[in-house]
Amino acid sequence: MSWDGFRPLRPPVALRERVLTAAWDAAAQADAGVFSALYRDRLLRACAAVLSGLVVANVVALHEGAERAAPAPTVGIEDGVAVPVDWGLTMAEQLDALAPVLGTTIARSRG
Amino acid sequence: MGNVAVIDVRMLAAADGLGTNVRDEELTGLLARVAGGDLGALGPIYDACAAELFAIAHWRTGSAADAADCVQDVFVRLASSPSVIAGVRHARRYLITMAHRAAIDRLRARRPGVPLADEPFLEAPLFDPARALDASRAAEGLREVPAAQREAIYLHHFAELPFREIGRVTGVPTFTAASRYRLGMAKLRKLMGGAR
Repeated sequence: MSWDGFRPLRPPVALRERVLTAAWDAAAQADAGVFSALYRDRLLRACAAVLSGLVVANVVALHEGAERAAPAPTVGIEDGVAVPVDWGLTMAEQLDALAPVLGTTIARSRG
Repeated sequence: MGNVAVIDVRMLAAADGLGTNVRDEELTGLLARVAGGDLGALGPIYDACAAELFAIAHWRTGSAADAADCVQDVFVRLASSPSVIAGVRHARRYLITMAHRAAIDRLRARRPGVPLADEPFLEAPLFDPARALDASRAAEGLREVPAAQREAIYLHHFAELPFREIGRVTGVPTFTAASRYRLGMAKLRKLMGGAR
């Protein structure tokens, strides 16, 4: 078959104005910056709040973890043995510090 | 000087009817201007390419309204993310690919069972009733051809892309692009009673 002389349907004339206006609007919104976007968009504000909460929770959790992982300081020496301070840690958490007190090495998994 | 360039591009686009005469270098330069923040270049890009982008989306989606939305999507993306287009080397291929993807997105978002408006895919030359009838029959036949095959027919015949380029812009191997074209044309010939 021959396509001679045929041409595809052309876009309506009014489309030019519509497309260019939408493009300029999109560019203006993209330029507005993150704070303007937060001001306008409720969903974006909610997402930012949740994200901020997660960041704070992560920082707190990391801080607590660092404290608990710190080696237990010792106080005094009784009968030649350094006794760790009682900070309410569990037996498992104090195994390394208590090994000299107990006089034995306890096999355990570090996984 | 800038105005002269704008007029040149518009004249080229108007002369061809599809904008395919606009050289890729000119389009790439216009895209670079948009990437640099000069939104005034969007107008010449529209004048040079909108007809082609509209037709690609129309032949893929089967709807002129969806095609208009696709053209808008393309230009909104160009305007809202200029940094992305800063490194584009083949502007026409890039824009055709954007139109193709916008059309695919529209098709995916379309609710099934919603009837489409019946706009013809083709227009015949003015003052030629016989060709107008042919165009009408071809447009009816094209409506029966699967969308991907219809798009391949457009890209090969009207956009004059080789199959390798069609494969690139539609994201399929060259062989698949050629098969789509061949199957689409075979179906169209069959629907039109074997006319060649």
